[in-house]
Amino acid sequence: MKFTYRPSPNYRQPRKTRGIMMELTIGLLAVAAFSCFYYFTKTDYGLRVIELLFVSVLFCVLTEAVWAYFTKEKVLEYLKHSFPWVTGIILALILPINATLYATAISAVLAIFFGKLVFGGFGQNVFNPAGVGRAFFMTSFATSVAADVVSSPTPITTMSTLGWVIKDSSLLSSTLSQFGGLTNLFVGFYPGSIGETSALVILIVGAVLIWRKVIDWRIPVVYVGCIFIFTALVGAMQGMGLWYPLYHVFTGGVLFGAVFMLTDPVTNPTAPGARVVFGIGAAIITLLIRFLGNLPEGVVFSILIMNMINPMIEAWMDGKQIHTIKKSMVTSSILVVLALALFTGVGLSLKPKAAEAEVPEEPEEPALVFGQPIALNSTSLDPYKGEITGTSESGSYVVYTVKVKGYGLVDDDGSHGLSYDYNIFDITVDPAAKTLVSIAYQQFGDTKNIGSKTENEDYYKVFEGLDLTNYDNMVDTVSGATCTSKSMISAVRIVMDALGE
Amino acid sequence: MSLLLGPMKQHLDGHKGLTDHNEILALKDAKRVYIPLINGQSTNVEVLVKEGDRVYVGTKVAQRNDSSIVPLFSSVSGKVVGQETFLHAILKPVAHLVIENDFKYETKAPFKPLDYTKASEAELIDFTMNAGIVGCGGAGFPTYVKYKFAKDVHTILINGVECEPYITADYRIMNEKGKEMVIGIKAMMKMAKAPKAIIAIKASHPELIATVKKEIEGHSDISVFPVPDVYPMGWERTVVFQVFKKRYDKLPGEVGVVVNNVTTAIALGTALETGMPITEKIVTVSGDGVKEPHNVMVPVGVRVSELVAKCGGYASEDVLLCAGGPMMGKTLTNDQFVITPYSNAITVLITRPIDKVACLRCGRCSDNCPSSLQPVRINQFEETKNYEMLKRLAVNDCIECGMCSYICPSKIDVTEGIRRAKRLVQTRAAAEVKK
Repeated sequence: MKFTYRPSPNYRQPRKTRGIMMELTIGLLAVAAFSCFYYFTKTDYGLRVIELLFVSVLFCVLTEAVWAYFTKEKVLEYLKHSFPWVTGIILALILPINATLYATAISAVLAIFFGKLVFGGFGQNVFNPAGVGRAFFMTSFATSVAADVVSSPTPITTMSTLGWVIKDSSLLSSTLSQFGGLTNLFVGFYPGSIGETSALVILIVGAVLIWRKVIDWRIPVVYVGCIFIFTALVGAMQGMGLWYPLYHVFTGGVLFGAVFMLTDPVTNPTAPGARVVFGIGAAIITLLIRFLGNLPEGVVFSILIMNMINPMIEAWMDGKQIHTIKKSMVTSSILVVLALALFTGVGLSLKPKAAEAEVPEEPEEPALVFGQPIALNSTSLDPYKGEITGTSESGSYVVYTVKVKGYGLVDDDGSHGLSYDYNIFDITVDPAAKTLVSIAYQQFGDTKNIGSKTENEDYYKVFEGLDLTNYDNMVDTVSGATCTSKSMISAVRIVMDALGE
Repeated sequence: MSLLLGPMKQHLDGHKGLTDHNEILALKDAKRVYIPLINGQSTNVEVLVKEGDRVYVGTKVAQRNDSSIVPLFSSVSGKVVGQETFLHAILKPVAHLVIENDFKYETKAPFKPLDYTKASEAELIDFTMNAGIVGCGGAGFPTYVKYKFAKDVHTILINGVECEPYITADYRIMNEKGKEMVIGIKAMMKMAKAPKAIIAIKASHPELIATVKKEIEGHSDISVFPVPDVYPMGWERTVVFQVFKKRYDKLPGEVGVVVNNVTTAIALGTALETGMPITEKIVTVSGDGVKEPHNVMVPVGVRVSELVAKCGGYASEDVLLCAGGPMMGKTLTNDQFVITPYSNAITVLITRPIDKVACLRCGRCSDNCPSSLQPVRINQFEETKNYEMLKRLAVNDCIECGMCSYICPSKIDVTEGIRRAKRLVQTRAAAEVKK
C-alpha cells in the first residue's frame, strides 16, 4: 500500500493546455477553410492557400524540431508541449495571397526563432511569434510577390489611398461596391490577407472560443469596441455615417487580430483589469498607425508594440485585484478620454485624397539615360543603311528627309519580325555653317517602349549644333535603345556625306 | 464577473452523488480511540485524567488553556491507557490520549442541558465555551470567541454551503438534525443579539432547501438563501459577499455578520438539548480510491485506517489520502491519523500522473482567485525570491483554497508556489522585526 504525497489541492479540472490549444487550432482551421472556399470558388488561387498554410506550418514545426534536437530535448515530446503549428497557421492566415513560398518559409523560421525560441520557448516569449513573422515579411519581402498571382487593392489600402475619408456619395458607393458592399465586407468574399477577410466567420469562431473559455472575452471586446467608438467619432467629425466604423472593424485584420493574436495569453497581461488597459492601448495604436502612419494595416504592429509594453502594464497593475481595480478603472478612463480627444483632432484634420485614387496615375517617364557615345565614323553604323529621299528649303536652312534602317531591318532577314519599318528623320541643316539645326522623327519603325526612348526632346538636343564636317565627333546613344540611336546617328552621317559631296 | 475583475469563484464537479443518499454507517468497534491533544494549531493542552482512570462517553479528559479555552472529551467509555505521539492531520506529530474501548458506550453528560430561551447571553457564551463547541467547517476555531466580541451584529449567517468536492457530511446532518439546528441557530442569534439569521445552502440542493424550510417554519427571523454551486462558496468572505454584496477587511463583524458552520449550530443545539459535547462525527469517506464511499458516524479519535476499512478498503495500491476534501485537505503519507471533533471528511483518490507543461500565462488563476490575488505573478516572483513584490501582491491574504492549482490548465502546483512565497515573506518579515 502506497500513500503518495502531493501538496494540496489533489483535485484538478479536466481541462488541459493541450486541449485548449487543440480547440484553438480547430478554430483557426475553420477560418482557413473559409479562405480555401473563397479562393477556390471565386479565384484561381485556392491551391496557394493550401501551399502557404503547408509551408508555414511545416517550417514552424521544423524550426522547433531542429531546436529541440540541438538542445537535446525529446523532439516529439517537445513539440507536443510547444504547439508550433498554431504560430504556423496564424502566420499563413495573415499573409497576402501573393506571398512567395520561400518568403513564407523564411518568415516562419524567423517567427519561431526570433519570436519564440530565443526567449526560452512556449510561455516565455514576449512577442506574438506570428506577428513577428508577419513583421519580418512586411519589412523584408513586401515586394517579393509571386509573379503569377494578380493581387488587387484590399479595402484597407483603398481607404488609405483615399486619405481615410470619403464624403462624396458616388465615390462611397463605388468604393464599397468594389468589394461587394458592406455586407460582403462582413461576409468576407474580397481580397485581403488570407484569413483576415471574413468578419462573419471570425466572429462565430471567436464566440465559440470565448464560450469554450479558450480565449478571454475582455481583450477582443474592448479592442474592437474601442476601434468602433474611436472611428465612429472620426467619421462623425467628417459627417460620415455608421458604415465608416464598420469598415474599419471589418477590414484590415482587426477582428482576426482581436480574436487570434491579441488574445495570445503568453503575450498579454494575466489580470482582467490589465487586459482591459491592454485592449484600449492596442486599439489606439492600431488607429494611430492607420491614420497617421505610412502603413495601411496597423493591426500587426500595434500588437507587437503592445506586446512590448505588456510587462509594464502588468507591473503597473500588480497587487490584490479588489484594490488595483480602481487603478485599472482610472487608467482605462484616462486612456479613453485621451483617445477621444486625439481622434476628434484626427477626425477634424483628415482630408480626402479622392482624385489620386480615382484616376490611376500614368506611369512616370523615367529620365533619359545615355549610354556609350559613338564616333560618326564608326563602322558599327555601317549596317544602318539609308538614303536621302527628299530635300526642301526652309528659309536659309535645308531640310533633308532621310530614310534609314532601324533595329528591325538591319539584319535583312526579317528575323525580328515583320512589324518593323524604316525610321524616317527630318534633319534640318544650316548649309552655311555646316551645322545641324534640328532633328525629328517623321516615321518611327522600331520597337515601341524601347527604341522609342530616342523619341525624346532631350536626346534631340544632343544633335543640335553638331559640326557636320568632323567625322571624329562623338555622339551619345540612349541606354537601352542603342540600335535605334545608331540608326539615328547613321541618318546624320548620310546627311554629312551629302553635304561633303 | 465584471470587466475589470474575474468571477473569483468557479463551479467544479462535486461528486456528491457518491455519498449523499446512501446509508450512514456507524463505526462502533474501534478497540482504542486516540483523543488528539490539540485544538487548531495549539497543543497547549492540559490533561485532566491519569493512566488507568475509567472514563465515560462525554468525560472531560483535557482542556486547551491559552488564548482560548477548549475542553476535550472522551468519545467512548473505557480505560485511559496512556499517551502516544504520532502524525496528526495538520502534518505535525501530536500527542494523543489513548482510551481503551470497553464497547459499553456508557454515557455521562458532562454538563446540564440549558434552555436558551431562559438563559442570558453571558450564560449561553459560557455554556458554548464549556461544551467545547468549535467550528466544524474544518478549522476548529472556538465558537464562543466569535460571540464574546460580537458587536452590532444584524445577521447570523449559517454556512451550509459545503463547497468542497466529495463531502456530504453537512448535507446529511442537516437532513437528520433539523430540530437541533434551529435550537443552535436561535441560541447563536441570542448570543450575538442578532435580529435575524440566514442559512446559505446551494441552490443545486432544492430538496434540502425544502427540508430546511419546513424545519424553520414559524421562525420568521430565520430564512434560507440559495447560493450558486461554485467553489469556494463556503468561504466566509465569498458567502458574505454573495449574500450581502459587501466585502470586509479582516472579520465579518465589520459588516455586522457572524458566520458559523451549520454543523457547529447543530452541535450547539445538541449540547443545549442533551448536555452532550461533540463526541462523534459524521465523516464522509469518499473518492475513487475507496471501494464503498459512505458517510460514517464515528467516535472522535478513531484511526482513519479503520474508517477506510469500514468503507470496503482502498480501491488501489497507490492512493492520495486527504484529511478533508481534495481541495484544502492535506495529503497524508499514512492512514494512522485520527478523526478530530472538527473533521468532516476523508478523501481517497487514486494516484494518477500529472502531465505538467509550461505556464502559458492564461490568467485563469487570477480570474478565479477568491481573494483576488494574482497567483501567476506570485509564482513568478517566488521564483526570483522578490520579497517586495510578494508583499505588494498580498501573498499573505491567500487562504490556500487550492483554486489556482485546480484551474491551471498546465497542471502547475500554483498553490504550493504561493505557500513557499508565504513562508518566504513570513520569514523575512520576522527577521526584519528582530532587527
